[in-house]
Amino acid sequence: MFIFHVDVNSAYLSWTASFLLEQGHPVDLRNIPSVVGGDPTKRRGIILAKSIPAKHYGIQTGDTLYEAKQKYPALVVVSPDYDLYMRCSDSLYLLLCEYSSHVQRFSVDECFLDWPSSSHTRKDAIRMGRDIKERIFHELGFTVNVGLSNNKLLAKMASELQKPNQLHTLFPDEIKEKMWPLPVEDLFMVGRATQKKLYKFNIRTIKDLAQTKPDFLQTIFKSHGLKIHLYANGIDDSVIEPKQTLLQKSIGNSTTIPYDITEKSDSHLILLALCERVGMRLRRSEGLAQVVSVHIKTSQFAYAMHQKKLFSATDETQEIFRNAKTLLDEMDLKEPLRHLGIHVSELIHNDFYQISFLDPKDRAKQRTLERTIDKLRNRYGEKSIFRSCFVNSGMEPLQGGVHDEDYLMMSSIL
Amino acid sequence: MKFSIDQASFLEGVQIVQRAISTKSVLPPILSGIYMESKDQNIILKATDLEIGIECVLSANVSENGSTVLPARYFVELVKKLPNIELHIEEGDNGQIRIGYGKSEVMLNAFSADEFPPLQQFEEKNMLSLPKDKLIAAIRNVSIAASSDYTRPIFTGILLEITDGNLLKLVATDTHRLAYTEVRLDKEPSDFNTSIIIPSKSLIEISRIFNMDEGEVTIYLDKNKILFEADHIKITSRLIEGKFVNYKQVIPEEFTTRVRVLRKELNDSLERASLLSRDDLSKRKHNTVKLSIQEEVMDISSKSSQIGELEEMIPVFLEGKTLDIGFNARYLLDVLRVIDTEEIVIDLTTELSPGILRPVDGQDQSLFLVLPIRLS
Repeated sequence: MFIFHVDVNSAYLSWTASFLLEQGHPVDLRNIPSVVGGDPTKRRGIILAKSIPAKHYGIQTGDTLYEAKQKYPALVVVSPDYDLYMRCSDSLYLLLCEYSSHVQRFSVDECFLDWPSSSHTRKDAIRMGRDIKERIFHELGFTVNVGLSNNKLLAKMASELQKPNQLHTLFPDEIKEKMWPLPVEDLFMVGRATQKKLYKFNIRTIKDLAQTKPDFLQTIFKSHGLKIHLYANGIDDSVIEPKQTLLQKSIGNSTTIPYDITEKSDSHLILLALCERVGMRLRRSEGLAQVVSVHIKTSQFAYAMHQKKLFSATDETQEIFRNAKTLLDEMDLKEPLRHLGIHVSELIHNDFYQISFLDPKDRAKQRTLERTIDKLRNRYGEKSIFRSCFVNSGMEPLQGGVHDEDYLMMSSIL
Repeated sequence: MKFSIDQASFLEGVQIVQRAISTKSVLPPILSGIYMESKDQNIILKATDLEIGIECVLSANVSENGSTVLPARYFVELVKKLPNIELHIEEGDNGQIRIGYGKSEVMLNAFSADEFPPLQQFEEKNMLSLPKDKLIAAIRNVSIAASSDYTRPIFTGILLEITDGNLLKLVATDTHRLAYTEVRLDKEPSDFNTSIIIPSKSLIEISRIFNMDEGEVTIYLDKNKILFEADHIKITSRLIEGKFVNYKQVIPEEFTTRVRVLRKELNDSLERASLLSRDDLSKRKHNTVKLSIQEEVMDISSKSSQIGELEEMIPVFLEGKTLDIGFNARYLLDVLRVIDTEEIVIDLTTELSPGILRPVDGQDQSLFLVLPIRLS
């Protein structure tokens, strides 16, 4: 069995860069000091990804925008576009699916691929790895590292070896030579806290860890000690779990209104305009929401939030709006509104849905309708079709669009 | 209080009333006890958690009337472990209760009997009676579909409805499935045209406590409570307030696909299929199986990315169109567990509309409705 690990090189930055190039942006962000993160107009937020030139100025992931600007004042800052990242991630996944039916999405920018090896040699596998890497570069426009081995752990370790745009193998017979000399903190599942403790016992390389007695590690780290000991020896028996689509934790949308909203009907319209985008994103992510929440700020800057667990999970704009409206009405506000936001969370996949009596009668019809509207909007623009209640209302039929949702950070699902 | 009774019958009594004891810590401590009263050659045992109340009368050799409340946990465990001989029970000093057995004795600390809430009283007005075995069978049939999600209390109850003078119906649903059963009463109840919702927990206790024999159970109804009486045992329950779903509306009257299948064969296939449909990693509770209904065979398949996949074929008689549909295997198995006929029929319309399962016994007294899982 051959396992490939495909890891996008500085994913957020290179995805944004290739998208901008495609849009006619004159320079490649990857070649100048640039970062993805925060909101450049508001001058706040943290660095999510950095280019290699930015790294040379000491800019690190997790720095605040302010700190980064201090290190290099001419730094180019771009906002993250999570929808773009999800699309890039999807296309990466689809491309890999052409090679094997066993592809597991490990995070936004990482996939594992299982290739049964009964009749293939290592040479075949290396050739296929190269092919994958080249195709991603030519067809999708970004570079990846490919790690090749017999299990998931070694494949992942291999893809980390040297970046960018490389293919590495790390088969069990190569562990001593390629993995053992590495510092122990490079091992998967050895974090900062574990590293500190290991250093105390003078375990500094993966080789040191591999040769430590497991009993000793168990007394210090409990079961985790045994696990990292196995990992240091390149042993991992976890299986590829295919068809795992990525699901965000929540999807949200909000807007600040430049004037005071006093009429209930106006606030409902704004809420509906916000729900439109939430519904579209939810359906695109193939998720169903189980919780709807509404948050508001009044003209006096008072903040309030109200949420509700739904009887049955949904991805319908109409249904989300109906619940959001109830929530807003329940808040019973005395002051005028200046800010409105909506979130859907506790998302589940929509591939198997247990039907309930409480589901609206025309659910199937409504589903088809909303999916058709999504298609029209994707093809002819977001405002190609909108609800008639917005005609002559002076309100935008789709509002918000600021990404204020909790996305899975890279490598966060283990 | 002073009486003697043999251990076996005493144990049976305390174990019956113990079923009403709740472990909920929000209840007053006195409710963790079993009330015991000796009166005119009878022992009355009572326990309640304010939702359900159980009273059991035993005959005994009483020499002094009186009452007490004993902590259920220790009391029941103790009686269980006592030898099967005559027990002598009497009030001791300091409010303790003395249980003598042979030459030995045990003293238990007791609560004061005055603190124990009286069980609810019922007028002998709204009452009906039916054979115990019919009631128990009906409860067993419908209770499978009741919900255990207390955020929607209505669905944790079972609807009891009497129409046409003597037709008793029980209905339960958790919104994903529904069970319906009816019992024709021999005797017309006195002024009992009603529809009430009883907590399914209470009814399940009733089906466990009463013996499945020839006797009759009498039901008394009051505004917000109900009493079941049989075998010297009285069980009261609070009712659930609110309106039950309109179950008639969700039961389709027409179908386009009807399959007849051997119950055991379907059951065994589904048991195997459900083994391979539990996907722990995806955190889905669904136990999805796909039924592909064709002429003469039904193809049952399930799949788990971690374990593997399964496909079985069982013979069926098909009337109408072929159909592919997904179900939660657990819901189907629950139904097959309570049906005891050799064959069942399943009526279906589309892959998104409910499937109806019925025993083939020509009596048409029960039906089970299961909503499908939408497959992508």
